Amino acid sequence: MLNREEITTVIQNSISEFEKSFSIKIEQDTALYGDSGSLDSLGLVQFLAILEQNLEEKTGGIVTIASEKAVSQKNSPFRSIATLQEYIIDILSEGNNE
Amino acid sequence: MNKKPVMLITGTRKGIGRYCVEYYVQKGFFVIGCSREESDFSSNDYMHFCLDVSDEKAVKDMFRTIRNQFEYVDVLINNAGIASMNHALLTPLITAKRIYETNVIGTFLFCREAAKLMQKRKTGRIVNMATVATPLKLEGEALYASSKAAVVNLTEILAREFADLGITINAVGSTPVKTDLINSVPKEKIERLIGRQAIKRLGNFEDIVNVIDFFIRQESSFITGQVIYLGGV
Repeated sequence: MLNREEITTVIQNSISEFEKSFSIKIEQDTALYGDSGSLDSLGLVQFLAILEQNLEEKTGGIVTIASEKAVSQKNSPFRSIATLQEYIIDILSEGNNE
Repeated sequence: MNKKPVMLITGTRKGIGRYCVEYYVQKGFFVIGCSREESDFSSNDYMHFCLDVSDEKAVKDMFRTIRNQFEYVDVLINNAGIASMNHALLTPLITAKRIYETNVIGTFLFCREAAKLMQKRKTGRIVNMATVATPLKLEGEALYASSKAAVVNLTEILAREFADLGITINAVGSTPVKTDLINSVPKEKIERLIGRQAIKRLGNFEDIVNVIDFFIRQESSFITGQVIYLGGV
């Protein structure tokens, strides 16, 4: 299992990889997506796919970020990088991902 | 470091998959293939993985290796497929599951993982395998034909989801071809089937790669979500 620091590193590396691949800057202190966010819905999907791959690379297992749990939460875990980080720590510690 | 275009083909141990490996290696691709068992084909431009295409963990591990070694995939040919000829009343559940897992889940997993690699370069070609058994609604092929109907619909919807990623996805609807897949089908049944085609003959491997070549060529960047049926079906 990855610790908080390792998860932060994977997220930061994924942001860099996404920005390099798609020439879109992700502002980390504002909303991640939506009208005032850095990403549109497709951009969010593309970023989460990269993040998922990088987490799988580190854990060697299957990681599902956009699960029913994530989608059904009252406050979306994808609001910001900070909420996303807490959510990933949560799902990896629950052992819901293989 | 490999500079050749990279093509990934599933179900490469025999039949059309095996033919495609030799054909595309000869055409200058680096080909990555997979099947449940080892391949007897060897070339400096071919790499083989042994896996079940519906095993998500094995598929992800394979793509992880491809990502680390090649970084990208230019073309995916989702060829792996199984058929079973039987009346629905006598088709065991295990056969139904096996057909859907290989033909539908396997195709989905490879489309999803390949698209993750392709999206970063904003380019990619995916070709799925359909069958004339779907539009001809063949008796005795309920599971096989319906699983391929799912592949057709998957192709049409993914074409829309992947369009903004620069990826096209199309399908070849093959007629019966002389492979192991039709070995167990009675001769009269095959002849009746061929009789319903506009051009009344068995297909061959060249017919299939001709359509694949068309879908994957650079000039076909405006063609997606299409199924080309062979034989005039």
